Amino acid sequence: MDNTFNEDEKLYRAVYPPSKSNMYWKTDGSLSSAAFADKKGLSVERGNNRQSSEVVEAMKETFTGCIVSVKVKDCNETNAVVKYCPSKRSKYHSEIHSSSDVILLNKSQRLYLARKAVKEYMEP
Amino acid sequence: MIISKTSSNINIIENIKKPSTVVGTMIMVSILITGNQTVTLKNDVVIEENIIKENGQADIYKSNTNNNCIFYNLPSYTNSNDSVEKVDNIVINEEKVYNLNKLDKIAELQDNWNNNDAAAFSENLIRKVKYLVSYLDIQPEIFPTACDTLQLEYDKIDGSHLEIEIGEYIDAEIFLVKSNGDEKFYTIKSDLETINKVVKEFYG
Repeated sequence: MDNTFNEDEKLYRAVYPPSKSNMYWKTDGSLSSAAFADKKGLSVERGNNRQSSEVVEAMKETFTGCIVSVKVKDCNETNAVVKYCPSKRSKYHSEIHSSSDVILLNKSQRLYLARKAVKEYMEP
Repeated sequence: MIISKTSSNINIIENIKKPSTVVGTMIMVSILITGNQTVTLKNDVVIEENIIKENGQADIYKSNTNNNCIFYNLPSYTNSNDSVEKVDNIVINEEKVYNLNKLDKIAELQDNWNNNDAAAFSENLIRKVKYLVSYLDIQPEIFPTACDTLQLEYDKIDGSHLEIEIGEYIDAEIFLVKSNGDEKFYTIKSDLETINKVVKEFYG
């Protein structure tokens, strides 16, 4: 893996579940853009051609809560930049930044991605 | 009835637990508010006006209902003769109580609550937003961000969307998306009057 992303590659993000005081979930069941606001870089796990079920099971070993995904092309459409940042915890770790030199996604990018996000796993 | 910290009556307040259910009906509560605590007052306490003095700050509790009620403390008033005049009427409804309780939960988040080094939210910010929520004419949905801010959101059926991002020290940042997709960003003073005006303009 390197910093090359296919447009259709999925990026997975763990989010607090509705059961935890609806921290990120609206009353209509949609995701708040606040879930995509992180001044230290929006952490995601890249799919790297894995099946979603495989990614979800791997993420559940490390994260609790719900898992949503966006595609790289969703990021491209809002001019956000995806960066491959493998870590000790995960070789799939990546981050979504606002641009090549701005980390925090702007409000428009956050809302766009929140609306594009697909629920891959919802904690029961 | 004045309740001092040394009187046995203070036990009424000390023994109060946070309510697990919401009072479903609209109630009118006349209160002088400080601190940050949700309490339930017993029937025999609520009818009379109660003034509780503690640490130089005064709380006045009074309800116009015979029912058990939810009382919510909010900051900004002190124990002085002038403070008695600053009694506000607050309409408490389920949405407001839900938001105030949610802010309590957000206040409990510890450092690294998002597993990416996000800091716990300051008491000042929580108190600030609780005050806004208590007086906002239209209730938002409230969410924490990993940018040390709280985000108030409103959505209309036509797809238009309003975000008000509030931090401890900064003005509020407004993000407005109209039904046709046009976006607008600007900042405002994060005072109640200005925010209420923005929300009312959003709903037209």
